[in-house]
Amino acid sequence: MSQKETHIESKIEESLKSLDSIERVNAPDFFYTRLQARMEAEVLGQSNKFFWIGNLRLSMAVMALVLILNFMSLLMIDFSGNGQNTDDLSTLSSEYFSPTDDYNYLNNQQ
Amino acid sequence: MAFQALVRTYQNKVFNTCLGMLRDVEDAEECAQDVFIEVYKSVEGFREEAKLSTWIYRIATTKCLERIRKRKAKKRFAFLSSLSGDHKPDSKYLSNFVHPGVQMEQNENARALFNAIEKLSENQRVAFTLHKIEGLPYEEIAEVLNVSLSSVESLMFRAKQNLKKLLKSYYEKNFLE
Repeated sequence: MSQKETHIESKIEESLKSLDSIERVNAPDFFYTRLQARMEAEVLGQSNKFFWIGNLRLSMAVMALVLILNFMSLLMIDFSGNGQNTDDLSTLSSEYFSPTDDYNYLNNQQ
Repeated sequence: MAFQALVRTYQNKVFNTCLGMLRDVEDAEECAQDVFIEVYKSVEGFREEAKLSTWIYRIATTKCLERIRKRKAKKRFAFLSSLSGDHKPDSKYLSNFVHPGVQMEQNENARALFNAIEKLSENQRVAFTLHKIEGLPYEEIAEVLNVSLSSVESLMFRAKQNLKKLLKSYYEKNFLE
């Protein structure tokens, strides 16, 4: 074995043993404080009133409910009193709007 | 309060494991936070079949491996981008890391070893890190990895063989020139 090879072998052994005396590294100061802040933002924050925005299923369900309510209210307006509504509207129209060619109300004022 | 006590008990173990696996202080702290958030979320599902420390080590190594995979994917993307000429390589994770727990006179040797550890397979890397850096016995590593004791012995044997090869190649290229 050449001198170079012997030297490399010894370096390999030294490297493999370099972690034998390694010391444990402690977590940085205020680790828990930073963890707490992150948890408040990410985990506990989900329980606020807008948490459902982040929840796709719940958002879709709320949207579907709103659409169904809209659709139902449209149907209910459509079905309730078809004829009576027309009469009421014409009465209202004649009371507040005179026909375009009728100017008699001007004479009445004199 | 119970959670705070749990964090205070295990924070050094978790951080040290993450630092050994990830070789970056900021990344290790973020990863350690991920570990405790996961513990908080899933502590109800913890069955006392395993020791609490084993369960926490398992979460820690899983989170570290997830980060390492993401980092590799990012590296591949950066490489592809650099081919098109619009991205500079990220030098954050290059091989200059010196573990703060290593003795000063061992810095150079440890640096070469850490670079070699990075090239090991995931299981070999986890087993070697837990044993050498965190000082876990083979029995506990077997529980963390959910494998038999003989599997851990085999993993450690192959890890050492591979490290020898990698270090030999490293020193032949970079040493004695």
